[in-house]
Amino acid sequence: MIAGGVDREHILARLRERIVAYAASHLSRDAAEDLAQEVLLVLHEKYPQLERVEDLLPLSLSIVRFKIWSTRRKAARRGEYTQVPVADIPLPDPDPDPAVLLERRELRERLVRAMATLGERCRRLMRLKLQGKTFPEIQRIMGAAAINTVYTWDFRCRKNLLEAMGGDWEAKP
Amino acid sequence: MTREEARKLLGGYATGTLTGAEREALFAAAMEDQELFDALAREEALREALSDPSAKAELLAALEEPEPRAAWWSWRPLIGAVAMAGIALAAVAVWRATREKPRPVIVAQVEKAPAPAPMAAAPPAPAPPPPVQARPRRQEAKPAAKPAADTAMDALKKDEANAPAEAAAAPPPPPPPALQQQPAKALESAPSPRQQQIQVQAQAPELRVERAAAVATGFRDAKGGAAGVAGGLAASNLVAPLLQWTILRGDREAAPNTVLDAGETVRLRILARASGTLTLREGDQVLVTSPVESMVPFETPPLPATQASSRVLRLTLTPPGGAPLTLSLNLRYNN
Repeated sequence: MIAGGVDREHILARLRERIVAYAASHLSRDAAEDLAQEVLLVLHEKYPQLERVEDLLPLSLSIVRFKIWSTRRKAARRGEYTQVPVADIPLPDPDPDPAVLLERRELRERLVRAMATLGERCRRLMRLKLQGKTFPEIQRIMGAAAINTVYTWDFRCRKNLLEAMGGDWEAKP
Repeated sequence: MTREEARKLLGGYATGTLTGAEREALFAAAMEDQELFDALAREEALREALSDPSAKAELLAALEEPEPRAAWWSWRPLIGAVAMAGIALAAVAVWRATREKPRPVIVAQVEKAPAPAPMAAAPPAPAPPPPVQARPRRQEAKPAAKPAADTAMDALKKDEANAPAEAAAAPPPPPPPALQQQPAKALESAPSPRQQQIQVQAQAPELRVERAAAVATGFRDAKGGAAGVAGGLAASNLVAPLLQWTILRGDREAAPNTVLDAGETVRLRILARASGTLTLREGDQVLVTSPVESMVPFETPPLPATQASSRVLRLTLTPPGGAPLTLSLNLRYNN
């Protein structure tokens, strides 16, 4: 348990470094520090049972993304970028944020368009991935000689897809 | 798994298709590599979008559709290649059409016979015809005769290749322009008491070329005597016949137009430019027949004289598997 605790502390320390560096490329340095602190706080308070990096890292990435998005919304709401009259600020809505819904819908549409430009092998590979097939399963289905071949195919297909979408999954503002 | 290999697992992160070991390797690498961590963080948007089952179903449906057909402009390279190939084929066809090998031209030439010394003592003979040079006459053959004619010409070419020095030594002189306009019949009807005929015997129609005998066949530069013999042996490529002959008076070689003494026994030296069987006839009588080799002179046995002042012999060369070539020889005696 102690060893596990040491590992967790070590993982969280590493995570903090990575999160700060990543967030600093999107926000100011101070804001990045604050954001990393908030992420660790959430992990500490809400997910104390998670100790493995395979659990902590994806969770922290989700929190980071949410926090960055939230920070930007707050900045907009505070008029840091544009001054908005108080009367125009919408009341909080418990339903999913329309902006989030719109962003997801746009991403989905861009994905559909970009996938239409892929070659047949990439389309088949993507289809199998969306069906939940793992890489070893895809290797058997597609008759690849080695798993590394599938990794390479997927790496290239992902690169092509990303290029077809303009270099980023999210639409640039 | 190396860091580079772990990077290749990025595509499986968003779709959630990584195995436990793959996830472990990817995340461990991301903890050590800020660039990979950033890439992983950027994948979060896609992972979030694909985590929605409806979005996943929509993408799957889009992927099930057949690949959209390429627009016509994507075929431009192929269209260009096909067009270039067509142009190249057309160019080759035109080139082949224009490159059609020139048809062989056999030149018939009539020249004034030189007056050799023996002629001075000869009785008055009909005045020799005025010097006439016939224009080059294109060899005419009906289509049915073409295979045989081609066979003969092929043999000619083959032998010409064997004697390039001779060919270079005597290029054919161009005929006088004024006479080039004369019809071919004028040549055939030209008054010439001594004529030789070369007959390329085809299976059906004959390919016939007539030439005057004032100058022996193939001895275009012949002026009589030894010089004529030497000149005759150096006939040009295009007009050189397959058969050349000279008269042997003892050991001395004389031009074919030499007027022999009455009762003189001579031999003939025959040079065939193709291998085959040589037959010398006088009328229906076969005087000699023998196989000959290309460009190897063949000497006939002595030919006793007759009472006639002019003898017409027929020399036939039959190449193996080819059409026979017949040459008329005219021996004149000073009777």
